[in-house]
Amino acid sequence: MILFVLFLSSFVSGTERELWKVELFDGTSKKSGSIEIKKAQVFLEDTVISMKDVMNILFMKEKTDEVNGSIQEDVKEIINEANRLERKYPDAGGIILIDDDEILLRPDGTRRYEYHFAAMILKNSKKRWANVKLYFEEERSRIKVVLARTIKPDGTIYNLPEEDIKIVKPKSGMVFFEKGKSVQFELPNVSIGDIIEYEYTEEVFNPWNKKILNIDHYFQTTEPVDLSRLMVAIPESLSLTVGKRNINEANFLSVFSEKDGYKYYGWEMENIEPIIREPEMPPLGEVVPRIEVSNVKSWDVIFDWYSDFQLTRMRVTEEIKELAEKITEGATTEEEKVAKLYHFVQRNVRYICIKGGAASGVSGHPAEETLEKGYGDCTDKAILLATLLRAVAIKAYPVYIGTNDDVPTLITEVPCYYGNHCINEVEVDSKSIYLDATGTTSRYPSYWSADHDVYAVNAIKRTIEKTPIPPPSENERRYEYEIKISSLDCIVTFKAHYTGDWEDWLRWYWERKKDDEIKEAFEEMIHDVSPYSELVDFSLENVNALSKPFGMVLKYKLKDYIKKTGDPLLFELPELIDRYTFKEVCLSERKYPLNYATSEGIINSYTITFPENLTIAYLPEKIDLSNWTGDKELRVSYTALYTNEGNILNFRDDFKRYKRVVPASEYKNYKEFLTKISLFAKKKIVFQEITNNRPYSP
Amino acid sequence: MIKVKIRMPKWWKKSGKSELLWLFLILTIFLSCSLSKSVRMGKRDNIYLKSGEEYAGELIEWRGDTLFFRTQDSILRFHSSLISSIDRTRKRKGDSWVIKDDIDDPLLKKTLNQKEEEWYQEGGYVVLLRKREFSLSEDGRITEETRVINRVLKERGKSIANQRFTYLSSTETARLLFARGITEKGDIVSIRENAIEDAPYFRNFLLYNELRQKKFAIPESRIGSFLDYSYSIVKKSEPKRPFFASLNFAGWQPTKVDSVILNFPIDKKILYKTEGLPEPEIKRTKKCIKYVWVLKNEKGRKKENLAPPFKDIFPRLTFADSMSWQDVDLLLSSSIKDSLIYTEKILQRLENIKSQETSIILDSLYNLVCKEIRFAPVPLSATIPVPKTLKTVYKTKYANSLDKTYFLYGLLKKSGIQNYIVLTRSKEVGRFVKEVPSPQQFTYALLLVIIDGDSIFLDPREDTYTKGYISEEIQGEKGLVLGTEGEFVRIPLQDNEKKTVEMSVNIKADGSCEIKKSEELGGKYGINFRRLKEMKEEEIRKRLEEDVSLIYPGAKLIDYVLSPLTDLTREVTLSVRYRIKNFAFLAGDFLFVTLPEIDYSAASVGASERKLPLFFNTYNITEHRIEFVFPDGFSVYHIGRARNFKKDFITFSSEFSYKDNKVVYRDYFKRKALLLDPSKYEDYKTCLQVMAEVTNEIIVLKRK
Repeated sequence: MILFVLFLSSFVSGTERELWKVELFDGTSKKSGSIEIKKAQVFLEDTVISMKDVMNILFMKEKTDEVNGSIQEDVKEIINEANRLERKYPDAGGIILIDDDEILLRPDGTRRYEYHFAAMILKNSKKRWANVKLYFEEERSRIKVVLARTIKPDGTIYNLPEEDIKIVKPKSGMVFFEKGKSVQFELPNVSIGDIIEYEYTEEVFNPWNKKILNIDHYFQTTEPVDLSRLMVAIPESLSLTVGKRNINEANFLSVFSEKDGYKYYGWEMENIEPIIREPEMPPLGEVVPRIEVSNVKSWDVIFDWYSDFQLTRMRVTEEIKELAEKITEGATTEEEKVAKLYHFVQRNVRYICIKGGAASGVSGHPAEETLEKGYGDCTDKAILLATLLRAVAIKAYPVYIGTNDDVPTLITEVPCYYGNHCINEVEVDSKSIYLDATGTTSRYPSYWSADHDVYAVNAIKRTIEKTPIPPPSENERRYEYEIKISSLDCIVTFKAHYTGDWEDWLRWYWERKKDDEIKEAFEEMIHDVSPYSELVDFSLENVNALSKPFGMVLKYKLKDYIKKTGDPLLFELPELIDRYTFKEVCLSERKYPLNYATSEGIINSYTITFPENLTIAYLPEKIDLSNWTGDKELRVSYTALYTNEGNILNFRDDFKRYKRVVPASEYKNYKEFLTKISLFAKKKIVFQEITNNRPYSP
Repeated sequence: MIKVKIRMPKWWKKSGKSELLWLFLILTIFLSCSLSKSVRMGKRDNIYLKSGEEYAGELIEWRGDTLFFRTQDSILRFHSSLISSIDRTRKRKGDSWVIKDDIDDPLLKKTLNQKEEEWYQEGGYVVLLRKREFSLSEDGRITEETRVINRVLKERGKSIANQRFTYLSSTETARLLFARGITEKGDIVSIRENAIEDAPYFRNFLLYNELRQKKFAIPESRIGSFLDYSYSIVKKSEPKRPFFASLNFAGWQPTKVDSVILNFPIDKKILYKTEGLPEPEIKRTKKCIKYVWVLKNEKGRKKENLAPPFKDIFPRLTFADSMSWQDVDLLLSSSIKDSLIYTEKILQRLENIKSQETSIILDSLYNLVCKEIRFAPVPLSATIPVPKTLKTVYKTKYANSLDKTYFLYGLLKKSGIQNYIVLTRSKEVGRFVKEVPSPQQFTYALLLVIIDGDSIFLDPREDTYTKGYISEEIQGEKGLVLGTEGEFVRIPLQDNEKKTVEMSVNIKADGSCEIKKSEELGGKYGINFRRLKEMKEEEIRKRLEEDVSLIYPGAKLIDYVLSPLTDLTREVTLSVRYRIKNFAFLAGDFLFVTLPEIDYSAASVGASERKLPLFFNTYNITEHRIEFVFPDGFSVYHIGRARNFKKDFITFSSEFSYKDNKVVYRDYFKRKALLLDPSKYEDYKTCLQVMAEVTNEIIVLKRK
C-alpha cells in the first residue's frame, strides 16, 4: 500500500494546455493554441505562415507548473547495495539495481508511464547504459526526464543539466522511416564503478487506442537484477487480464489493492541471476520470468480494431481487379492463381517501411497506394496480396505473427498488441495455408522459416492458430555428385536443388551477382573443396524465374584430390562433412532449449567411378539412426549407405529433422546423436592399388 | 464522409435530356480526370486521427474547428478534436507531372528518350546521368548540386532507389530538390515527405551530431523504371573547414555519363588532382572559371574479394582551396592551444601520479585515456576539426580519435612529456592525396611521443590496445605532425601482427586424443581476444567450448587459462586443453591422423584471374608447432612432405619430422605487403594453394 501511495502522489501535476505545433521545412517550429488554413496560408495565434513552408502539424498537450517527482532513496543505501552485489557478481558487466515500471490508466483512456532505472557499471561495454534514447511521438505523448545522475563510489553526484537532454530525430536503418523523435541524453562523467540513475515520465495523452492497455514486462536479463517491479493502476470499473510465464511463485511478490477509484496491481522480483546466452536459444522473452497484462478480456476488441483498419485498406478497386485478372490469366487452378499473385507481390513491391499512425503501424497502407508507390513493408505487402487474391475470389487475410527468432510465444489468454510481422493466411483448395510476401525470392508455397510454428492472429476471421512446421522435404537440400576418378584426380559433376529457406536464400544470393561474379564465386567454392580445382562448366537454373525451382549444376576437376599415404589411398566425399557440422551442439550442456527456425532435410547422392586398378580397402559401414523426443515422437532420422558394384561406388544418405525445439533436458542425448552423424561423415574411403593381383586386405 | 457535389447549371432545366446526358457525361469525365489528376498530384499529405485511422490526400482548408481534406474519392471533413497530426509533402519541381508528356525538363526528356544500349544491359542498373556541380561565390559560399538519373535493369538494381547523402549541419544546409520514379509506361510518381528522413548520422554520440544524413526512398523502382533525383548542399564559409571535395567517377554498375563541374571566381586558386580521368575542359569568362570533367560509357566492374577501398578503384578527382601543408598545420594547430584548459579534476588526477618516473606516468596516462574514455568511431572529416575541450571529454567520457588523442596530448604536456598530435587517414577510405593539401583529408589522429630521446606512436583508441599498438587502418600511412610547419611522418607497420600456436596431441590406440594448446596472440589477434574481457567467466567458457567443438565433432573442452585481459602491457596468451574421442580414424592396422586446427583454405584465391590489387590492412605472421605423441604398438607409416614457398612479399614453409613415437609438424607463414598488384596474384594464389595442401595432410600410423 505504501508503494501505491507513493505511486499516486507522484502524479501531482500542473495544468495541461492543448495546442498545435507547426514544424517547418527549414527546421524551425511554432506553437499556437489555434490554427486556421485559408488560401495557402496558415494563421496561428500570433503569426501567419505560408502553407508551402509547413512540414507537419502536430496536436500536443503541454503541462505548465509541472512538479518533478522526488527521489526518496538514500544515495548511501544505493551504493551499499551496489557494492554488496558487486561482491556477489564480480564478473558482471553491470548490475541493474532498479528496474521499476509504473503505469496509470485513467478513465478517459489517457495514461502515464513512469520508469526508474539504476545500475552499477562494472565493465566498459555497459557504459552504453548511460546513453539513453526514449522514442516518442510528439502528437501522442510527452516525456519528462525527472532525474538523471551519476553517483560516484564516494557518493559524489553529477546531475545531468537540463540543456544536455536533447530531442533528436533518430536515425534508422536504410529501409525504415519512422515518424517519431527521441529524447536522448548521456549521463555525465561515467566511469567503471559508478552508478547511473534516471527516471522519466511519459504522459500519453493520445494513445494508439484509448480502450486498450497492454504491458509486457520481463523481470530478468543478461546481467544481474536486484529489483524488478511492475505496477499497474486502472480505473476500478475495469479489470486486468494477467498472463505469467516462467514465474517461480516462491520468489515472486504480487500485491493488489483498491483505493480512490483505482485498482492497483503490483509484481516484484528481487535478486535475479543473469541469463548466460547460449547459441540458438529461444528469444529472451521465452525463458525469462515475464508478465503480460491487458485491460481487455476478450480478443474481440483487438480483432475489431485491427480488422476495421485492414478491411478499409483491402478495397478491390477497378485497377486492382484488372491487375489481378491479368496476372492470373491462364492459371487453371486456384493454387496457380495464388502462386502467381504471391510471386507478383514479392517481385513488384520492394521493401520500405514507413510508419505513420496506428493504422499504418498495425495494418499498413491501402492496397492501391502500395501498388502505386511500388514499395511497402510486411503489413503493406500482406494487405496488397490479400486484396489481389480477393479480387480473383480467393479468401485471403493479413495475419499478425511474432517471428520465432525474436518474439516469445503469445500468451493467448491475454488479448494484446501481438507480433512483429505480418503475413497472409490464404484459403486455397479447401485448406488454409500461410504465405509471406515480404521478401523477393520465396517460391510458392514456401515462406520464411521464422514464421513457422508461431501464433497467427487473424483479426478478420477472429481466429488465433499456429502456423505449421512444414515437413523436412519443404526445407530441403538435395545434392547429386557423379565423380570419375582418374589417377589422383577427379572429375565432378554436381547438381543441387533446394526448397524452403535454402532455395529462398540462394536465389537471392545468386540474383545479386553479375555473370562474371558468378563464375568467380563458383571458382572460390570449388577451391574450398580442394586447392587445385578447375571449373569446367556451370549453370544456374531459374535464378530469376521465381515460379520455377532453383538449381545449380557444376562441372569441375579436382587435381591431386586422392590422398596417397603409402599404400592406402584416401578419398573423402567432397563437401559431405560441411553439411553435417552442427555448430548448434557445441556446448556440453544447456540450460535453455535449442531452437531451430523450422524442420530440415538433406539428401546426398554420390556415384563414384574408380579405375580398375584400384580396389576398396575400407568402406564405412551403413548407419541408421533415429532420435526421439521425450514424448516418443521422431525428432531426427539419418540413414546412410555405401554400396559397391564392380568399380562403381554409391553413397546415399537421408537426413530429416522434424522438430524445431530441443528441450534442455533432451539436449545431451541429441548432441550425441548429431555427433555420431558428424563422425560418420568424416570417415574416408580407403582404396588400394591392385598389385600382383593381391589386393590389400586390412 | 462528404461526397463531391457537382452543381448543375440553370440551363439544365431548359435543354433536352439526351444532349444534356452527353454534356453531363463529358463534364463528369472531365471533372473526374481533373480530380483524379489533381488528387494524385496532391495526394501526398497524410492526416492521422486520434482514432488511429489515417488518410493520404491533400489538406485543403482549416476553418474554425473543421478541417477539409481531399482524398482520392472525396473531400473529408474532420473536427479538429479528432486530429492527431498532419504530414505534408514539400512542393518540389516536377511534382505536378503525372505522365511523361507532362515533363518540361529538357535534360530528363532527352535522357528518357535515349535508345537503350547493349553494353550496359548486364548491370543491375545503369547510371544514365550523374552531374555534380560546385559553385564557389565571392563571399565564400559554396553550392553543390547533384543530379542523377538511373535506370533499373534487373531485380538486384532496385535498391538503387534507396539513397542517402550527408552534410555538416553546423555549416551546411541540404535540400532534396526532387525525387521521382518514372515507369516504363511513362507514369510518374514523386516522392512523399514520409519517405525522407533527416537525422544525425552518429546517433549514439550527441557530441558529434553535426553530421547529418538525409536518406530517401524513391517510389516506383521496378525493372525498366527511371529514377530521377537531385539535391543541393549549400555551405557557408568556415575557416577551419576550407573548400574540399574528393569524388569518384563511375562505379560497380555501368555508367553512361558522369560529370563534375567546378565554377569559381577568377581570382580564386584551386588545386586539383585526377586519377584515371582526363584533364578538364576549361572555360573562362570575365569573372569566373569553369572546369568540366566528364567520363562516359564506363561498363562497371566485377567485384573481387580483398579489393582495395572503393575510392581507390574508380577514377578519382580531388580538389580544394589552394593551400600548403604548412597552412593546414597552422590552421589546425591554432585550435589546439585554444582548447587546452585544465579543470580542477583533471589537475587532481595528474597530481596523483606526478611523482612517478616518466615512463610510468606515460603508461598510467595512456591507460587512463584508453580505459576511461570510450571510443566514438566518428572520423575527423565528419566534424569541424577543432578538438573538444579537455573538460568536455572528461565529462562525456567518450570521444573520437582526435578528441581522445588531444585529451592524452593535454595530460602528457602538463606532465612535462613532449608529444605531438599526428593527423592521418584511414586506408579504408582511400589513398591520401598529398598534392591537394586540406584538413579534410584526415580521418584519424594519434600521438607521437618523445621520451628519453626515442619517439613512439601512441594510439589510445581502445582499452584492448596493447601499449604501442596502432590501429590496423592507419598502419603504414602518412601523418601530418601538427606544430612542425607541415612535416610528415610515416606511421609504422606493426611487426607483432602475429599468432603463434603450440600444441601437443596425445593419441591413444582407440583413436581418442587429448590436446594441449597454447597460443600467443599479438596485434589484432590479441585485440580481438581481449574483447572477451567484457564477458562473464561463464560466457568466456561457453565461447571457448564453441570454438573447441568446431575443431572436430565431439571435441570437448577440459580447461583453459587466459592471461589477464585487462593488462595492456603484454600480449594475450591462451592455454586450452581439450579431448576428442574419435579423432584418429582406425581402418584395419592403420591409424589415420589429421592435423588439428590446421584449416588453410584456397577459397579466397579461387578466381582464375584478377583485375584489382589485393588489399590488406596489416602484415601478418602465423606459426604452428604441433607435436604428436603416439600410442605404443604403432609405428609411423607415413608423414606429410615438406613445403616451401618464398617470394619477397610472402613466405610459407612447413615440415614434418619424427623421432621415436613422436611426429612434429611445424609451419610458418608471413605476408609482408599491404597492396599487391594483380601481377602478383598468381604468386599469392600459389602460396595459399600450397598452404591448403597441408589441411589435407594425414599422418598414418601402422600397428606393429
